[in-house]
Amino acid sequence: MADASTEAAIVQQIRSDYKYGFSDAEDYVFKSGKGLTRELIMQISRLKQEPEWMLDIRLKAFEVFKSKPMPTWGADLSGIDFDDIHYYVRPSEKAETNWDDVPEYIKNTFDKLGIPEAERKFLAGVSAQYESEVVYHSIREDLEKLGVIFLDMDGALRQFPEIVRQYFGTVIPMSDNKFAALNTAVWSGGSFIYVPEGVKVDIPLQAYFRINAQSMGQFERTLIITAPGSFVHYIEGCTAPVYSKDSLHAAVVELIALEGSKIRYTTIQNWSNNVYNLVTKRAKAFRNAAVEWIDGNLGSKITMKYPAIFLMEEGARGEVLSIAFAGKGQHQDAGAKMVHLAPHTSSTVLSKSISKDGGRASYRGLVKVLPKAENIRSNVRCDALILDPESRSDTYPTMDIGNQNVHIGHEATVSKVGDEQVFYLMSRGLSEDDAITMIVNGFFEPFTKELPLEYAVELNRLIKLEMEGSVG
Amino acid sequence: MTTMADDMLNLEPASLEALSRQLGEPGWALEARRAAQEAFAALPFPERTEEAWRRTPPELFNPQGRGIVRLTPAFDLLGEGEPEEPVGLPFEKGLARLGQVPESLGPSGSRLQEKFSALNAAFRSGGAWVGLPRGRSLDRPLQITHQVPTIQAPAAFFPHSRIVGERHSKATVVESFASQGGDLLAAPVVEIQLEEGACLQYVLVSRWGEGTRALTHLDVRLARNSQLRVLFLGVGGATTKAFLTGNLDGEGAKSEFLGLVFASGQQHFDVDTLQNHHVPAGNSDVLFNCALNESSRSIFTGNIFVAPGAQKTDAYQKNRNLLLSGKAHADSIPKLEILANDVRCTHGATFTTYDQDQQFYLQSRGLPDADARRLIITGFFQEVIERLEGPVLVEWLAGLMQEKMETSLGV
Repeated sequence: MADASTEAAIVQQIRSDYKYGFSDAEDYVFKSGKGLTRELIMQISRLKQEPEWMLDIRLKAFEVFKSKPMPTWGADLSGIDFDDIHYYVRPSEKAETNWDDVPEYIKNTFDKLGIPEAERKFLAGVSAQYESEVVYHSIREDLEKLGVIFLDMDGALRQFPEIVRQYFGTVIPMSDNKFAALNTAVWSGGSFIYVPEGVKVDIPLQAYFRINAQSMGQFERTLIITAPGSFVHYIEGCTAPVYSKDSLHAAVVELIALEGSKIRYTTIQNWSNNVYNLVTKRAKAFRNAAVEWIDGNLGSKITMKYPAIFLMEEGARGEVLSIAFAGKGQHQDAGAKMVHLAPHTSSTVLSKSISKDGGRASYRGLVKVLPKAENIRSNVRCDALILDPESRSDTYPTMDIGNQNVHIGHEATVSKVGDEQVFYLMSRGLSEDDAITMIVNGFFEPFTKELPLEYAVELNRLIKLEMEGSVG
Repeated sequence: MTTMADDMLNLEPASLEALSRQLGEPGWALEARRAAQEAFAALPFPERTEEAWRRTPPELFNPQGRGIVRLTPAFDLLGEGEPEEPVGLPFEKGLARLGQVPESLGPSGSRLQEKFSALNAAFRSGGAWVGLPRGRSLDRPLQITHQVPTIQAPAAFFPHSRIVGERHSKATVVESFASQGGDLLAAPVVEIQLEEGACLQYVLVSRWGEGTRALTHLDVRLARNSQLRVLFLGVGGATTKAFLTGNLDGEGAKSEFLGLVFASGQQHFDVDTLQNHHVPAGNSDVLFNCALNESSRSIFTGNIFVAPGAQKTDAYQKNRNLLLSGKAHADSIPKLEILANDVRCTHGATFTTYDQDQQFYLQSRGLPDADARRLIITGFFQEVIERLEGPVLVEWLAGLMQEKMETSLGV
């Protein structure tokens, strides 16, 4: 038991550094045992009163999951024990639309995270997921009248089964990878958004994901469809408490931007440092449509996430803007994939990463141009800062170009914080700590300036927190 | 100049003895071959799922069922001038003079860790041995030519070349590998070792014939303050897979890897470069230009690895691809693996076709379309060629590219 005390000390240490590390006592309507079986999947489906075809998909995906090997590239996933995870935890009976009806302890959690306040101030709709289920949901009435659908995925399956059936798994098939298969088998919660033709949702819709239980698996499933000429900005945030046992977050996010529409999807991932964050995110952009992934990775133990955009038809445009901060014990293996399937499409990737205290940040990306896709423009830029000799930074881009009429560029740099910059700032009276934090904030600025103000402020605060004590 | 065994040998342990005897090798050389043969047999054949082999099937280089080509290289000097004392020897002569196998070919040597290098070490059937004496500076580029004549039955050729630049020596070496018709598998290994302060320009010209599959290993070790400039020039062969590795072992070493690939028809070039920064204050610079015509394909994979503690590393890597046909296909995978923080490591990759502005400008000056294109391609090659020192060498290389351009573009 000698280990237990040190382990507890470590947990305590992490807790004190991580603002969202508190946890609630568990008082759940349903909590599955550990491990995944066919029976459990049938039980989840029954509890959700799903149509037969969804159960069929789940069971098929379970077989695919079992047959797929673990990825051997990227981060070290050997610490994941699929038999030591709770796959389904239901905290309440249904998603409430009135904040007062949400169970008290969950309300307290989200109060602490500042969700209701944020909603009042600047959001058009909010969804809050706690463990496996969405517990609270609301959307502004005017948007609802315009026909905007913003629901949790389970609600969407009940109310709009035909739309869900039409699009579910069309962007990310269950056989895509082991974790996409797992998600398809046990998915629960997530957001469903449908924006009707010509409707522009000018302020963001937000979802908030919270893991509370120990050894929990969260498998939310998100599907966003924008009809021709529409626009939506969706923001998600993620946190979890700190336990000595690891949790798994394996989401699948599918975006479909129909002709002339635009989707902006912003993620600020701040999972505690005991979450494996293995997420498959992919978008299809049709004629003249645009998709933007704004992807911030601060938390988690291991993140493997490569937001992808398939540029399906002429004039489609894709953009990924991502930052990663890898601190002690973290491996951020993030990147972007751009697949040009049609002529006259363009893509941009800007990736910024920082590694510190022995952390490892990797950029892994793909730009693929199919032979029939002419007149392609793509530009990828990766910048990395390494703050100390113990940390590591990698860049693994792949460019696979099958057409000659292209303009494709890729650039990457890895360096430390410039001595001259620090010297200059210190000569103006800043402490070394403040100088480095300011340089890091400046380094991330192309990202932060794309966020709504409240998020940018929060992100700067988080970075400052991460940077504390970075100068010996 | 060229000799070949009348009776073709096959890849069996028994052949080692015959091969070693034909080359007049001492017993310890044969023992080293046997050890390499065992290492080869014990190592697994590469799989297509391995990252290095994902885009070029390793089965293409299966040596089974082939006879072995034995070949003595030719040595001469590029350009005009007084005849000089030759510094190059056939490999086996150099080996006999040294009196023992070099460490890399020894029982626990690096060459015995990789399948095809071990194969080469076992069935070595040619190659050059170049020793550049301490403080000596060669005025004219040394040229080594391996010219495999037309072969009738499927054959394999395993040249092993070794170049050692002793302290503060300075030289340029041009090594050409070429073949005529026939189904040939060529798996050359080139090892270069530079001692402190040595300075070497090394050009590897890959002009294999149409029926040749080439699997090339180039491995360089750089001691303190040594400088190396390598040019890999790929124009010939049906399929080429090359591993080019620079090991910066001593502080202040500088490694420059240049590449020029001009592919046409169905040619396939897959080149891996790796710059290993083991110690602080190393400098590496990679520039790889690939021009692709017709249905050809190229894959460039470059890695800069900076080991923990290799501070003050300055590394640059660039890959440019010029796609000259709608059916050409290019891949680029420029990687960075950085485990130290006080470094400057950058890379870039571009893919373009003929620059329409340049073409328009040239046409407006009265150049026909074909000439304008030719000029643009020449400029694309010149960027790399001009990095080399020595007007004789630069001119010789430009002529070589011109020759390929004429056969490929018909201009």
